[in-house]
Amino acid sequence: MLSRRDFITGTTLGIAGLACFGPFAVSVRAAELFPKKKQRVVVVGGGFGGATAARYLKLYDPGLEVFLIEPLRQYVTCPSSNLVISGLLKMPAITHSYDRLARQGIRVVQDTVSAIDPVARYVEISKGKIAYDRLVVAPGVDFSFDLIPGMDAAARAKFPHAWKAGEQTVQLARELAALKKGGSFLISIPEAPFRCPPGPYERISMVAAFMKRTNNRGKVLVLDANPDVVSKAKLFKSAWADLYKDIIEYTPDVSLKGVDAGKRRLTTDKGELTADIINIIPEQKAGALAFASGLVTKGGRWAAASPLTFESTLHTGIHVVGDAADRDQVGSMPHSGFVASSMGKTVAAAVVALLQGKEPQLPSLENSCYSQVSDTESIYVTGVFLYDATAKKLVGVKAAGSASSGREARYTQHYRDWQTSITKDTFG
Amino acid sequence: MMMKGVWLALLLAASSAFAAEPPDKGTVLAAPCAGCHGTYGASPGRLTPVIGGQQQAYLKKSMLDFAAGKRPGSVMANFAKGYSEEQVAEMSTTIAGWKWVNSSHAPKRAVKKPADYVTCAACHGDQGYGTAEGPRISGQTRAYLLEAMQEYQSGKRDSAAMEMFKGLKDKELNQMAAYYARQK
Repeated sequence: MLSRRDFITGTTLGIAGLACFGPFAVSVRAAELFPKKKQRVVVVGGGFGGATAARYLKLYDPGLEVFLIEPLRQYVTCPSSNLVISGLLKMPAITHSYDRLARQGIRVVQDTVSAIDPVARYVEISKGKIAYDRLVVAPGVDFSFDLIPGMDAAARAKFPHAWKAGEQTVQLARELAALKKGGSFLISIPEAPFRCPPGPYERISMVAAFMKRTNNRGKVLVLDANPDVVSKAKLFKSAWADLYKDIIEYTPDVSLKGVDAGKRRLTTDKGELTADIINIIPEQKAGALAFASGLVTKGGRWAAASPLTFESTLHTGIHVVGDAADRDQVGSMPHSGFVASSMGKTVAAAVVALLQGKEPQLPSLENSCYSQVSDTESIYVTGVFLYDATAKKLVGVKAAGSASSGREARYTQHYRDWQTSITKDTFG
Repeated sequence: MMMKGVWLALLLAASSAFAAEPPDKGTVLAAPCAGCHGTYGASPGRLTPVIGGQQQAYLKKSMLDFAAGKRPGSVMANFAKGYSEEQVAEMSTTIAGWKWVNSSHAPKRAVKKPADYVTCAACHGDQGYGTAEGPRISGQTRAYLLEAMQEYQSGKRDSAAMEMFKGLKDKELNQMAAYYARQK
């Protein structure tokens, strides 16, 4: 039995959270906000993984009480956000509200989970607690700013990552639109694994496409911590050679040693440099809630989970979906929105079975990922991930995991259809 | 005693009404398809075809043809190679069981019935709802129907039954695609 000391407390708790131990603590902690009438699943995090899990739980078993707790009022998708930076799409095209999920019988609660009690099975939000029979957490990623010396608040504001789409996407789009003739855009790519492996390379292509379109004689300076382009390397490199030879300067194996916001200067193992627009994507790890709620093994970076049901191996009754789940444990899927959505569906099916005391089906995931490389053409990569009893995790089926043979305008229509379909599938 | 029996029956009825059967193997396998083809295969895209409620035999044949390289495809040529024939059968049965939802990208104005209507109906059924390996075409995505016919016409996609397209003009193919996309 776990003792009261094992109660998980979130770092996001802050001062308000500490008040729980004060005179008003008991009443606040005791208050169940929504008395449970039926079996209940609470989902924390409304990205592709969490929102899909919530939607499919309700589709698979309409009798369940399904809660979705998410602090943001609307979700801006990372997929297609590079197209917004380039000026090909506007923000509304990638912005989705949770209203339709609410109309489909999912209780959407706009709040932040400050703590999880895996023994008594409830989560705590600002106004009280919500009990659950099973919990699905989809905390996404957080950034390891601390690994970059000088990456203080000022530097974070000046050198946005835009790796969670939203205000920073708008910031980069504005800076690019206002770039002076012959100006430069610098992008720093962290060591893999990170969210959306082809993402940085699509961004490079889309920024270069803007420069070509506006004929502003600009340059894209790429500092990649990896030895080569991480995803769809051949396709990206041939697009760059064919279309942006005089625009993109790609340097692999660069280690970012520090930044100076005041001087707008970056220090790397290959020398110092600056640029008119600086886009630093830091290394990534599971979202804060995963760490705060004891779902990450000591010294680890991602949430430990079973490959069969994505149930946490550290706390029963809690399932982890999306980018936060440890790939070493669950399988070799990329950290992508499509995989997160796929995981959400598999977890929804498993949870419905487990709540009825039945054996869940084996998990089955897919990945389909498009990148636009010019104003008209796109490329793709796919994957099918099935459970392998020998490896004891999900393994990519080799024959199903390859990239497109080239770039085509037709794939751009596929990409737009993909964006329409997956966001409708996720947000209702 | 009798009262108790009635209560028990009511309780059982209530609980079975609430607890839906957990998703079966085919449902879990087919779920990721919705990422591109829409929830329950009701594609909201301009080009991606509707698959929910499509003929089971045609769905299965398509997957196997994609896997064998007999049918040209982009992402589908890859995905189809990821599953065993047994898994493909389960997925296609599940998807065929979903409700067909007409594509929302049909032309707004009425389109003249194609001259070759009777020929189409021979395999696609009188209302275009399909017959086994002859897929449903009524309410299908317009751009997809056109693309399929162009693939037959250019010989990229092989089918003895579709030889007829080789003599047709783009205008006629466009009319057929528009006509069937509008049918409910």
